[in-house]
Amino acid sequence: MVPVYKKVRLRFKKTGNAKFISHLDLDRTMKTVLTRAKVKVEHTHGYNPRPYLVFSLPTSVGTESLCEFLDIKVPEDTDISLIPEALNRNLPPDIRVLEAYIPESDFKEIKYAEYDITVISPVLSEELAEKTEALFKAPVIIEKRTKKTESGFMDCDITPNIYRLTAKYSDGKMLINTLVSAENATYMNPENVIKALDKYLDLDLSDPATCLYTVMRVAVYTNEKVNFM
Amino acid sequence: MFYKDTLLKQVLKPGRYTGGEYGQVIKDAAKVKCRWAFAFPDTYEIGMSNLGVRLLYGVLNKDDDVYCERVYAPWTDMEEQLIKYGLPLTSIETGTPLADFFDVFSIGEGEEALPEFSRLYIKMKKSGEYSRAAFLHEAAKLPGFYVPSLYDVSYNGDGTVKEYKPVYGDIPETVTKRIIGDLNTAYYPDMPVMPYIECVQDRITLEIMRGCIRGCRFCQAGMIYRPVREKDPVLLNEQAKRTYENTGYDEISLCSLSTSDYTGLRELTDGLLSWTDENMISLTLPSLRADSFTDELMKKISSVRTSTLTFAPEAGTQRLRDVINKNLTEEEVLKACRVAFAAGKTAVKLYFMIGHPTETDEDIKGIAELAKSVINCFYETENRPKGKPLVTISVACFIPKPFTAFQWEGQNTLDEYKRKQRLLGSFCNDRRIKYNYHDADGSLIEAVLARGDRKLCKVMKAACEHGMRFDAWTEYFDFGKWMSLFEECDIDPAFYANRERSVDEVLPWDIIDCGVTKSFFRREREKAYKGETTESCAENCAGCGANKLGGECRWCPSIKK
Ligand code: SF4
Repeated sequence: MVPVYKKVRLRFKKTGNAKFISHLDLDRTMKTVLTRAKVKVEHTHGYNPRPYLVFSLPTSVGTESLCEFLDIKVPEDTDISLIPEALNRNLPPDIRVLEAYIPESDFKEIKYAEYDITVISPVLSEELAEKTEALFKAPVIIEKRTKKTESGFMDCDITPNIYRLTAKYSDGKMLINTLVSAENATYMNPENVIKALDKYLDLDLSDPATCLYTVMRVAVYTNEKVNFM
Repeated sequence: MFYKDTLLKQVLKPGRYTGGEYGQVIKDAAKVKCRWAFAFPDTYEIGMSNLGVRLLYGVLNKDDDVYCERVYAPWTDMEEQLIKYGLPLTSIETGTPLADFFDVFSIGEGEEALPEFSRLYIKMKKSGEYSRAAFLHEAAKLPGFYVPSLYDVSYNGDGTVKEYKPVYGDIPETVTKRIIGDLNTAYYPDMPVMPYIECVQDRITLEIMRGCIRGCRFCQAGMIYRPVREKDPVLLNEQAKRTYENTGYDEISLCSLSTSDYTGLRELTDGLLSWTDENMISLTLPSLRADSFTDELMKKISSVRTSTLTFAPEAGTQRLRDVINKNLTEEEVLKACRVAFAAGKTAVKLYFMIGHPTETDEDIKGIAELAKSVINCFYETENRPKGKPLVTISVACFIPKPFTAFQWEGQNTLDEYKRKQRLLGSFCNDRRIKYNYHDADGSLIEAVLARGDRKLCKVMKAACEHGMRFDAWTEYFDFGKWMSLFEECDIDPAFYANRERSVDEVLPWDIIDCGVTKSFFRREREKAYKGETTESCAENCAGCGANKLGGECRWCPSIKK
């Protein structure tokens, strides 16, 4: 008899050291974790069967996230309320599954992503925070990788894909909150914000003795600006 | 304040340095009595794949009052950053700096030896007897520990070693290798650390036996891991299952020097297949002898099923295969290829070495001829697949190694190696043969280092000071740099690589007793020159001497007390 499977969505966070895991490494980690946790999942058919794992838009290496999604398929009779704990027992401490549920939406419905960016540098000030906000009101040209040109690079204005950006200075830190496109065609990597600060405001953040920036994806939204589930 | 993350964002693969993996052991450093920094001299991805590291990390951390942390060599981009910001190299677990060099070597298998070393340290610390010098003196009395500073070396006028002399009367004159007597009761790492990033071997390594019953005369591993000890297949099956449940890996590699010689192979593979297939776990073998390659293995072992088959005849003619004691006939190679072709394969890969003792140009030609016979064999196989066969021959340069029958041999000169490589190229005039060969330059440097003595320390130091790193990685290997280092340090590479030693010369490694006796190596060398072969341990004990180390060995005769 062919077993019947149901789709289950896992929402998880990856913070701390886990931010340096690439998407490929995350994929491999999750595969072994599911086995360790004895969570049975459907495998692809064919010569080299692999577990069916579908991730929502991955964050880039270095970015933390509170809202990563992974769809798996488990046998119909699985009690999915037990899955988060089973997985968390077998995950490295910096990855935590927050919930498991039967999804009603599709990853394609994700349109926006919200990021908190924290910047630490001795040159920060309230004035710089104001300049940062002002910067993104006019075109911001960033060099992007492309297959379209011979050099492999192309200048792009990133502001059409930034819907909101606020910057506040407080206690030696600059806190940036931004809402950007998370759609396939216009996807905006939040690292571009850091690049723009370097290019337009001369904010070099490469010295580990004085500077740090962290990027955290805090939420993703659908077209209707409601939290994606 | 120092922001490590800012630095990590500027190097390749930051996951090499972060730690925090599942299975990492974290202890309170203030509460333990003995701390180890287990340093592996290569990158994280290689070190994490090493069974020995997994094993010793586990065995040391088993003791609650002992804390073992891991250290890997930083890649050159990370090293640059560390130097730029004046940072120390740290362990993965707690970030403790490393400072000193080697004081002591643990010789042989470490599962029992290293915990004893921890105990000695803790005992001396507690009783107040501890000083660096007193500790090293005591350590040198533990079986299997070599403390170089406690052995004086003197040299003859011609640069050869005169003698090794212990500084104290109460430490052994030679250091005997440690072995684990019964592998069935030994520690097995069933809960290794699970790396975040992709490593060289992301799989379960199941060590099924130690040592090798074959007596290939060029092979160091085949000698220094003797006596041959097998593990119980039922136990292995249980350990594999437990490790699978703890790791979630989907591949099990049956590991040993010659896996097809393991007497429990059928029972083990049957046992494994009873649960691995349904869990979609593949079984792989790292090495296979052509004479043991059968239809049955082909069906059971996924790596055999799916990848290109690789055999290692090592020499092109029967005469030379007898000299090196490979004990493999052309017919056996061809038979294995026929099985492979009949099962639908079109490509095989053959490994050879050039530069074996007594080699002539006929033997070089023999390599190409053996490849041609394999091609003919393809066309003679009735149910062969469609298409053309491809035989890849991969040819390395022989490097004489300590603790082998060929430890006295001079290596071919670079010119000779290059001539032989060209000669072989001229015989490989068939498009169905793909001829790969290794650079001879690297094998000269390896030959110097493989049989070096303490005089080479200054070369190693200079290499380090000149910023040479990761020389085993082709992108960093610079032959010219090595040659100028030798000159700078007044070292003649030919003295170490190309010089034939006299059989009664004191060899730098005579200070170590690996179990196999020097007289056995001498006998084997004489037989090599006569073209006589020696049977494997399974057929007949050749009296290598390793049985004196004891242990649960299937083949070794026990020593009469
Ligand atoms: S003592 Fe005999 S059987 Fe044992 S390893 Fe040596 S040659 Fe083989």
